[in-house]
Amino acid sequence: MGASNKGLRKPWFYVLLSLAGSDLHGAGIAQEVARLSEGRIHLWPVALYGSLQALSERGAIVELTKPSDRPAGATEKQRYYRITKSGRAALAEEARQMAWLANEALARSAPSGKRT
Amino acid sequence: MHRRSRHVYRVMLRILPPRFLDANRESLEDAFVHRLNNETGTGFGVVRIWWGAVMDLFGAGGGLWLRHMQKRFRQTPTQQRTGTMSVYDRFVQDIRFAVRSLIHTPGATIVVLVTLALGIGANTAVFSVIDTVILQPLPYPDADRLFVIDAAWETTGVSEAPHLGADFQFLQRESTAFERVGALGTIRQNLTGERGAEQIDMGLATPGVFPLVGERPVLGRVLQRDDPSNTIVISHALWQTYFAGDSSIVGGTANIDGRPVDIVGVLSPTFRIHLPVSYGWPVRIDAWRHPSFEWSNGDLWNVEDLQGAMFRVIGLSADGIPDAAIDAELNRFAANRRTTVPGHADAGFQLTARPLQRAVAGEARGMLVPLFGAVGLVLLIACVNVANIMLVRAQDRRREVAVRMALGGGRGRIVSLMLAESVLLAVAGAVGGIALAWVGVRGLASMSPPNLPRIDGIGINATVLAFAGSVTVLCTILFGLVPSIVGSRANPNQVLQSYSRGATRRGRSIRRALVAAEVSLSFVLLIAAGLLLRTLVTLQDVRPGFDYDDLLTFSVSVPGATYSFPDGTARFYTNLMNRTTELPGVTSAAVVWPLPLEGQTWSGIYLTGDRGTEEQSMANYRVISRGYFETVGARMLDGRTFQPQDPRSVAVVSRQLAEHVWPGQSAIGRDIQAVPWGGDPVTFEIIGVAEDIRYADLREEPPETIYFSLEGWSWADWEFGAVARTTVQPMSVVPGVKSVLAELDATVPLARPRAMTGYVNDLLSANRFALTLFAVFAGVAVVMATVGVYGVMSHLVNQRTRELGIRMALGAQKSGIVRTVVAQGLTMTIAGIATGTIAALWLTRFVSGLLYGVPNADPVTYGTIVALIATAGAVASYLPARRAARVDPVESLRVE
Repeated sequence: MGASNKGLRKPWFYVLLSLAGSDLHGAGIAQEVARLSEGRIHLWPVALYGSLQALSERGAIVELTKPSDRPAGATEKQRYYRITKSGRAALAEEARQMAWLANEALARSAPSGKRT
Repeated sequence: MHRRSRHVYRVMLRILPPRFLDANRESLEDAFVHRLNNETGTGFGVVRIWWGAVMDLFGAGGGLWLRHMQKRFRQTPTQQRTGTMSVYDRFVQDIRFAVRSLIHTPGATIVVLVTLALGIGANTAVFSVIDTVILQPLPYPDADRLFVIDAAWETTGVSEAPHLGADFQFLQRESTAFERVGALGTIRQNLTGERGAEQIDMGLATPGVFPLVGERPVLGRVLQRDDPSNTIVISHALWQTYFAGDSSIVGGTANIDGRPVDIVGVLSPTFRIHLPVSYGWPVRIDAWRHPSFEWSNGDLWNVEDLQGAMFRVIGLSADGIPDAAIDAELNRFAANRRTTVPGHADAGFQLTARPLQRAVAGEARGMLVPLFGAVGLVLLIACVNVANIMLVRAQDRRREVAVRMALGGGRGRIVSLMLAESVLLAVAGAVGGIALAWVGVRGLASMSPPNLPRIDGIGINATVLAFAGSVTVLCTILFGLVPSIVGSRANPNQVLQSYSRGATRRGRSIRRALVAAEVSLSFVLLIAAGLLLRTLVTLQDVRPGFDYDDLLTFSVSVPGATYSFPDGTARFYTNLMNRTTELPGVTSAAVVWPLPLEGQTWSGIYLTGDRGTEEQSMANYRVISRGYFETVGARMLDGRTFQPQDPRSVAVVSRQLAEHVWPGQSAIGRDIQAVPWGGDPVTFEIIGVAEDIRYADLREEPPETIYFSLEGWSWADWEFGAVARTTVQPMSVVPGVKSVLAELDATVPLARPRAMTGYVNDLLSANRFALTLFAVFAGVAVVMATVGVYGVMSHLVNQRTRELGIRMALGAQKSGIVRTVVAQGLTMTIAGIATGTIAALWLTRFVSGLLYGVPNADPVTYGTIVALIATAGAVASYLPARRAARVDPVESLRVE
């Protein structure tokens, strides 16, 4: 995957995270991102579809074009996306990094931690 | 719901990269509307959504563009060819492709670029000069209402003459058509002081003049109505040179012709009162004052009032008054003067007015307009040349186009490739043109003749640059594009099969016609240049009636405060001449006013014929010292020149005058009445007849001239010219003359020393200027035309390699092949010469004003140019022909 070594941008991370549970359409992703970020991140249209395009180009997600793939009840206009294997790998990698960072932060901010 | 909002948002979305937008437009709109739908609350919420959308568009949109551009540069050509492309993508790719293909054919590329640059640059430069000299309004308030008002004397055929002071005063008093009038004169005076003695050009202006030109001085003030005539304002140049930029000079005094004057102001560096070149005014006036009524000298200024003085008059017409009303008033005034002043009636006094702007542009128009025509032809040739080369390129690429199309290249794509190439060439050529225009304008300004008005204020004209630029650029694009559009319409299969047969018949004939057109246009330019060259040669051979080689001229003005006239002044000049003649390298010296070839003399001299015949004529007059004719090398035809014991009342006349008044008889001993100093006519006895001299201009027939003796008729406070015949380089005796002058009177400066050849050069400078430019343009044109012929012929030979090979295989002689090819080339050339001759015969009428002694249809010029162009055409087609003859028949059949 393209720019994985630079780490994921925040919106991309949230998009991948929102898709990790189930396939979603654009508006669904935006809603899920807002929910996951506790309302801190609102993906506006251009940011949303810009991210989706960037992630598609990098092979992290795919747009579901075959009708058989799309959930029942999806309208013609709704564009559904699914996370790919490499997308999950990137998400996991990012999560590990965040976990390490979180642990490190917790360790350093604890009163018993080393001070420099 | 939110139909309107959706629409607005859709428009805003257009700032996004097109490729992204195409893929996501509907989703984006839906997402936006979805947000609006969810916002059920207040108006403020809606505003917040719009605000968010805008920030999103710019923020995230900017990111998209950034990634988009990054991708552009990272992509390999293979990647680019896959998938659909935006217009922008294609453009970038096309440009890249065009650069490569232009570099691949450096010859054609360079020729097109040079051609474009020359076409654009030369046009812009020349028109910038025209604009500055002719078209731009003069730098005065109400410049469009300023007129020059001339006097004319119908009986003697003199027009554009200066006014007598009395006539000016009448005009000033009576006129309603002119809101304000001003009279101007110029004399040479000596400025003396701690910084030495210097002769200066003093402008005389009545109080009406300065308000007309709206001058703001850099120091002090301009002249005001009540200033006495010993109050002066000085030019910026005089302030900088003589006064070394000393600001305390304003409010101080200086010494002019031995009298103190008050300096009240320094004029701005750009200040100039523009008058028609034909007035013969000095380019630079060093100081201005009001005309004086009390300063005495022998001629113009020794008058109780302005009655006898001669002035040039400018006037500000009343706002909105039609030209017809001005003319009517002037006619009425002239009629009035004719009835009240007897002399005016006899001489047929008239008044005429011309707009100052047009009068100043005057003669320059006659030179610059043909020049613009010439440069227009160059532009045309440039276009033809570019068209030609672009057509060749297109033809050479028909196969490439066909292959592309056969492989599925879209027509639009191919056309846009060609477009990119043309645009690139055009833009690069235009940049070159701008550079050339910049250089050209400076070049023109530095080589322009001294009488070209206002040339110092020249700059590049943006409008013309735009015009010449767009003409050539359009031409390039057009001829780059049309063939590719036509070509792409052809069936690729056919093209590929027919390739070896070469270009289509139609393409070839268009190109030949273009080359013939180029030849004929350059023929016209060459003819013009040839005629101008012949003119210059003729003029240089004109003997003006005296020998101007090895002749030093200078001028001297003696102050009336120390010298009485005519005796004191005559004594001074006689001493000066005697002492100068004793200098080593000088064989003789004499005084003359005015100097030959130094512009026109203005004389109110009435020549009355033999008593009783009452014939009146106007004659040029000259005041000369003894030894004048010997010094300048003019022959005496009859009688003698002045001797020391001669009375004042003897005169010498020119051959024409003698023949006019006393045809077939000797003039010696006859009486003639004339008015050397104004006032009543004096009777003179003619003692000699001299050969005619062309005093005003080499081109003009010698005027009828009457010579008065310096001993009886010299003035003070007035500049006299001196001539010295030298055996050495004329300028080398100047220090000697200076020391002689210093010994005689240290307050009298030596002014404007010059070799007489300098005046001749000045007179020819306009011709030389025009010739140089025409020669340059004609040279460029001929090179372009020759390149055109060569290009067409070598292309033709290339395409016919196979055919020629077959011919030679079948036994054709090499000489025969060469003949065939050269004949083809010559056909084009001859067609060009034929049309060029017709065009030239018609068009040269526009340069006839610049010609002298050469008929417009000069057979020598035409013959030479025909031979020249034919030779160039023959050589240009012989070279490819020789190549054709060297073709190895076997090899040629293997081609492709």
